Amino acid sequence: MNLNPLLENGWLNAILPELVLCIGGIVLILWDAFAPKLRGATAPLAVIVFLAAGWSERLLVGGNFFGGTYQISAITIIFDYTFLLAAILATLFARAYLARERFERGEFYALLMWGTVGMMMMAKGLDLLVIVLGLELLSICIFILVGFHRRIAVSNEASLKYFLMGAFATGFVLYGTALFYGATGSTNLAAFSRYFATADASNPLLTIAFILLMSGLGFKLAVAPFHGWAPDVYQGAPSPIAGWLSTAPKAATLIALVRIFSSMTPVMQQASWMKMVAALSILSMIIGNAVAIAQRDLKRMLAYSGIAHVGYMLIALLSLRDESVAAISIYVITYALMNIGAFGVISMLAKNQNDPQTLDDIAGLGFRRPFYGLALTICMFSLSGLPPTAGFIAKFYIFKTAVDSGHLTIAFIGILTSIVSVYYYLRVVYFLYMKEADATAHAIDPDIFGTGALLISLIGIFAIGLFPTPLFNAAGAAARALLP
Amino acid sequence: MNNILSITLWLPIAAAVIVAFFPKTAANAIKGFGLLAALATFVASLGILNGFKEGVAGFQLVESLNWIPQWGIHYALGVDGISLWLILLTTLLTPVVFLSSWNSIHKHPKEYVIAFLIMEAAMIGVFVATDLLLFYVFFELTLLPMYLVIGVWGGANRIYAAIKFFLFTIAGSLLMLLGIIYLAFAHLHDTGVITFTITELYGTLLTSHAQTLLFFAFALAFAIKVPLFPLHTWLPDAHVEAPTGGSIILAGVMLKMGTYGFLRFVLPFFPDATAKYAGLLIALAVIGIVYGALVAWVQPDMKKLVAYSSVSHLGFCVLGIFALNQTSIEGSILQMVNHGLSTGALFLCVGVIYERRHTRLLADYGGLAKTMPVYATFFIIAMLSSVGLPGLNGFIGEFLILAGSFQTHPRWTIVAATGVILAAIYLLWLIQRVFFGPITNEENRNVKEIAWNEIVALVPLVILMVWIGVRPNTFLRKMTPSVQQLLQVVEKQGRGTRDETPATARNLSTARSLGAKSPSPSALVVATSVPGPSPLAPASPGGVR
Amino acid sequence: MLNTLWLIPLLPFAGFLLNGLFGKRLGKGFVTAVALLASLGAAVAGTIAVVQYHAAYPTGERHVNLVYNWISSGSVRADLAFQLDPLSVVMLMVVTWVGFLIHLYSVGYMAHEHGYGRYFAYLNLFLSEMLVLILGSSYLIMFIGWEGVGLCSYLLIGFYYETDYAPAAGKKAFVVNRIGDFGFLIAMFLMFAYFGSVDFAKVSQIAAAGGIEHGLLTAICLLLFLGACGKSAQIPLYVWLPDAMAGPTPVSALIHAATMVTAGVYMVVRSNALYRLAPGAMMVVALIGALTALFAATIGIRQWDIKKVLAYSTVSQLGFMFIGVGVGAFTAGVFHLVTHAFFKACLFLGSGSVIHAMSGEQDMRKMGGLKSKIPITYWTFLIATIAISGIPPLAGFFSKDEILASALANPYFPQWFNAVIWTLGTLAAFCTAFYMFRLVYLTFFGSFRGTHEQEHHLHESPWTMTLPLIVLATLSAIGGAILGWPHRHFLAAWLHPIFPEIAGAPEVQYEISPNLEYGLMFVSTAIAVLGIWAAYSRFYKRGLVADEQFAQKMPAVANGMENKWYVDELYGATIVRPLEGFSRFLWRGIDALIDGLLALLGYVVAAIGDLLRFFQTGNVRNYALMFFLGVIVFVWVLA
Repeated sequence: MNLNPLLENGWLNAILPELVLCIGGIVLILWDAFAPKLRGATAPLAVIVFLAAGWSERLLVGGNFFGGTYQISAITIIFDYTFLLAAILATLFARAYLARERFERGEFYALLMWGTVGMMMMAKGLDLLVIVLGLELLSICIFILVGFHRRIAVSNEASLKYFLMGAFATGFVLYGTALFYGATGSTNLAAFSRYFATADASNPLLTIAFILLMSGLGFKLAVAPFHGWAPDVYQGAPSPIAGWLSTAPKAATLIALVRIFSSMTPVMQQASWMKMVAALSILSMIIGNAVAIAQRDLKRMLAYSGIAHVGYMLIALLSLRDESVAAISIYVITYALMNIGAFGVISMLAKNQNDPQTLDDIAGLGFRRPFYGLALTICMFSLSGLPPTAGFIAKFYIFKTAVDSGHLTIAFIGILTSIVSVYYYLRVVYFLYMKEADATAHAIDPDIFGTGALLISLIGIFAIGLFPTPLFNAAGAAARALLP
Repeated sequence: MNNILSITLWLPIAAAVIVAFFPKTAANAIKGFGLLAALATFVASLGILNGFKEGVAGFQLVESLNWIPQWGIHYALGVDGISLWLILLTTLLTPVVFLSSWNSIHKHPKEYVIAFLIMEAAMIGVFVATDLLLFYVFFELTLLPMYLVIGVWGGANRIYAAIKFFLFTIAGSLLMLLGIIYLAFAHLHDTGVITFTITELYGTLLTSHAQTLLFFAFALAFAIKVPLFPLHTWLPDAHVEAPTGGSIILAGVMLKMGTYGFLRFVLPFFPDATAKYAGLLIALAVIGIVYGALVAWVQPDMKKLVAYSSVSHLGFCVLGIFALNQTSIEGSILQMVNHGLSTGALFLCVGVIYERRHTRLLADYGGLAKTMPVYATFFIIAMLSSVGLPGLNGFIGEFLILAGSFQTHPRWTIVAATGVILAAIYLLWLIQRVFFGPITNEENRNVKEIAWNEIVALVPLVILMVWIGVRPNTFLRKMTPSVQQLLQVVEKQGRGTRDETPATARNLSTARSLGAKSPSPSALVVATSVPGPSPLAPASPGGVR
Repeated sequence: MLNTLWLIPLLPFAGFLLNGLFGKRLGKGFVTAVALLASLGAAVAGTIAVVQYHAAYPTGERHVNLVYNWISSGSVRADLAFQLDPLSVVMLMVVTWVGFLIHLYSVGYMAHEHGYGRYFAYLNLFLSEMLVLILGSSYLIMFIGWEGVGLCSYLLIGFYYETDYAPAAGKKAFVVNRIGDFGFLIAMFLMFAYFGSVDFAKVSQIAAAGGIEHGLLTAICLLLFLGACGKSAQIPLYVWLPDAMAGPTPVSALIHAATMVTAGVYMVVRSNALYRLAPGAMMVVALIGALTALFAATIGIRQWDIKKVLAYSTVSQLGFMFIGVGVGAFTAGVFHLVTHAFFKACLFLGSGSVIHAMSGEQDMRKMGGLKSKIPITYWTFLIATIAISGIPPLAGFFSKDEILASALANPYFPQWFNAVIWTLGTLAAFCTAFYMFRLVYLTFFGSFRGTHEQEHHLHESPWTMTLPLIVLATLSAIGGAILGWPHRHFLAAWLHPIFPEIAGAPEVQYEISPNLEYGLMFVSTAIAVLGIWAAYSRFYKRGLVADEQFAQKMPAVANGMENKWYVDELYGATIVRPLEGFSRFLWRGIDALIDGLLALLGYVVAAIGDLLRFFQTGNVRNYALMFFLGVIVFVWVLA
């Protein structure tokens, strides 16, 4: 058969990072198989592979590939870096964790890589099918990673839940895609934008299609009311994975949404589909923050806080402008830094993973292990969006775009809910510094990698918090390039 | 030195970083270093005083660097007659805190010192920032250290107090954040320039509706901080639970961040709304004066008594501010300092006795004048300053506030003046109960007399009380031009949005483009591409464009 | 000296600092020396200043000594400046010299007290603040001294701080004074607002120039008078003065008889320009004064504590002074102020000497027959008593008579009003004579009723105490005749310059027809004699028995007098306790309510959280259902 239509020149270049990661994954599995003695080296190897992928990004040249189904642009590169960053942090945290839990396997990192490939495809896909393809690839990796902790029940349960719900959601995505195909005669976003330029906004078919697609992707974003799985899955999943899971896939889905939305203007506005997005955002902010108050399990709490954070990101998505895209990219990077950092500290808690990691486990940590206590504190304050951390800048950017594009009400709700959120983030600090550690309090056993990862996220948090300018320039330029 | 402000601002932070590397066990070394750093900061702030030119209205010793040019946010510092003395108050009280708590802090001294140094820097930042967002950053930054100070080194019910303190404040300031953003965009749509520089924003034209909203967004944040009745309930708990040092800083400086905010932002940004709602705030302030005084009178707990007295005293400051009158505003700026000195001293004194007897209940005391005469003397002097005895600082502040407010709001002022009577009632009651009468409780018979470090901490406060009382002009002179200019800005802007029809027309368009889903792309381009304004010159008259 | 007037208050202040800081360490000798030198220095310096002043300003304009600009902020400008004018001169002489005498007296009286240094520190501080009060050139400077003396009286009343009543009395004094100061403050605000200044000369100029709204003037005068009521213990604010006797006796003599409590009178005279333009206010002053005079006198009739009697007598006499200034006889008021300073100081110091002799006993029921034991005290005391009772030619007669005469002859008030005032005053005068001689008889006559060691311990006081007594007694005897012999009225002539000419305002020295004048002289003398005779007939022989009989005859009245007509109880029941209750309500009620509402808000949010948790069953089926329902709803709404 003839692959020429696909294999136009530069195709190799287009998927260079993906290739690096795929091959790296295979290498790691083989390494694990042939040199089980040298298992300790798998994590460093993985990091090297990720770095290599990151380096290969610099070789990319922008443009559309594979028959206009795959786009490389500044924004995709930024998101690729985000995915890689998340993956690297997860890897570094994972090493000690896996060693402690005795299931250090090469496939773990391999799956991370392939999952990352999936996300990269979502970020770059110019065709709904490509996006779905990436989505599925990602999902499969996540099923396995979540259940990776074979010996303990919660992990398996989490994996199963994610699998079932994921399958359920994928159904919606595919059906939505099908409907769009039916309406527009194509799944290609370029074709979409041609069609929607003149489309009849009142066409219910389109609306239903959009709703289905949105809810399917909303599952990945874990926005209310499609969030049910998140707390259970995060709780069950190995902590490093939970951190990764709570950030990178959301980023990928968001950028995909940006592409899809931008291809559907102006109908987006007229058909008031944005109402759905607004509703999802408000629901997520309220439910996420309100329920998080009731949580004593750190991972569950972070799960709900994650739901709320997606709510905030959706605020920016309400107005499809370069500003908002920039805001979203800043937010996902920041969120990756602080959330994975938080999960990282949790992953260091030496305790039976079958039991919940509760607030009591970190009691007095601030004075027992000052650095790690401080790190978690900073992550919490960044999550609650207090200056001078990255969290503040990101949130500020979101509200700024909201005000700028006249979404005052939802911005107001956002403010109110973040007042609520301060309470439960603050409670963590309270346990860290103001609660004496009781006998049952668990020690944490950090290793050099984990500490390094923590340092990275702290530096990142403060770098963005204090000197956001370069990032703004990059993101702003990329966003303007994406939405001319 | 043209970057004296930055030096003063960053010295404590640098010191805090250094302290972080001290070994946990070297408590005295840590405290000593902390004290040295605080003193060094104070000396640096004297440099500010020295470099401050009298008779200049606008910001002086300004520094400005682009921080986030895309948003026109600057690292912009400056000092004027309104902030000058508050800066010095901050740098004075921090070493006082370290001195007074030298022997009282045994738990985690390292973290204690670090917390206070960072707090000091943040508070200085609040007063020197001339960029709205920079101000906000410092405003928030003060919260975490104070939260920890109350929560870690506080009393029995500290957690509740700490969280209450944090939530109250954050609730206000987050709404203010929204207001800040809105204001910046109003300015953007009004002028095509996005900036957070205070003096630039003074010019912003707003619809009266927008003004009202923003006024309340800002006023709420500051009213909570002051605290203004009925938002004051966090204060007594915070004060009672906080360690002595925490109370001193909280009452001495942090409350002033609220009144300062009113002066620096609310008045000049929203002159119309200020004119419209001044009555409301004055009413609340006066209610607070009487309310705080009455409630203080029936407190069984010394610290709570002083805490409620703060509510009363800060009421005077707010009254003075919203009386919108040269005299009253100067009075309330001075009163902010006075309150810092006298209430700081009172809290310090309460701490002294608490450390010896571990109770703050008035009922447990009596006759202490016999066992600790020196201590009694200091306490009584602080009390007299707080009561407003002529010849001490408190009188000047209250007198100017009342004399000034009387010219604009005579009725409210008369009500407020009853606070002068009530102050005598509750403070004299405190003194009588603690120091006079026969010694009923045997434990009071041999209490250790006030220690040297505590005396050394108190003496500068007393000296300043007398100084301000005897030569108030030394302090008033420096603030006069700035206050005059502030009032001019309020006046001018007030008229600016009232009569100028084109202006109002522009406001409407502003409002529309603000309300619109997608604003004009031009504005958008400006928003992203126009670099922030050049650093404001000291001569720029309040940035009234 | 004239350009260093500030030195006069500064000397005693220096004494205060020295004694306050080092008194304890350097011992009694040092303290005594410093204190006496400080007060004497002030007196001498003052005298020199007065002499120079008289030389420099024979016609009695005011001399101002500007120290520096104290406050200037917006429209509020005030200089720290001291002034000398005829009125200040009179006050200066009285305060410094009487002050010095009482310092001297204290050396003996306090010899065995601990806290000797503290006492003299406070006393010096008082002297300096009092000098600021009378030398200040504006209401604001006057206010410094005004509150300063209040502080000193607070400290000195509470001098025996280990007792429980003394500190309470001190607090009461300070708080009640603060109520008065409140009025003073508002008055100053009014002046700043409408006159733009609080300088005495400027204010009276502006007022004299006319065109000031009448209501405004009345308001200012009444507010100032409220201040005067506090400081000079007039109805309704007199309640603090009797309690103030908890302080050492010399303090009572100096602060609560001779000097501080007369500050109110001084202020009214100082503000004569304002008052003369507000006749309504003057009538109020006169009426309050008259009522106080009688009211206090009635209480004085039935007190057992020797100092309490004198305290109520002071309140009553102050009332007389206010009658004087109220009816426009300002000189008469000042005149009585001066004579009162002489004899009341003498009486208090005498009582102190008695108490000293009785080794601390103050209850007259335990005294009696002391006349032979402490003769000097007795004779001086007797002279002062005759003086206060108003028997010519002793001091009290002239001043009191002049006041009553002016009250009756005042051409500006309605006749009936004059009559009322005069009657009240005359009754008060009768009571005065009566209770004073009751005091004398109960104390010095009859047989000794005290314990044995008290009796055995009886002794005349040292010269430091008796000398002041003699001096003051002499002054009480001849002072009146010298200062204010009718028609050769030295004081009137001297004070004349301080009363500016004001068109349409009452003249300060109005003519009294000779017949009326001499008639009244006779009447008041007769009244005094009557009072004395009444006392004599009851107490000379029967002593205490007379009181018991009185109590049996009309128990209600007797109880009323004995318990000060229950005024303190009234205040407690109507003001203090309700206010306290209200405060508790604010604290326990309002504050709790606010917190409650906020807590409720918190609970609501938390409750919502818990509620929503209910959906979190951990059961995939429900998640899917939720998911599906969500989709349905969206389809429903949007499509």
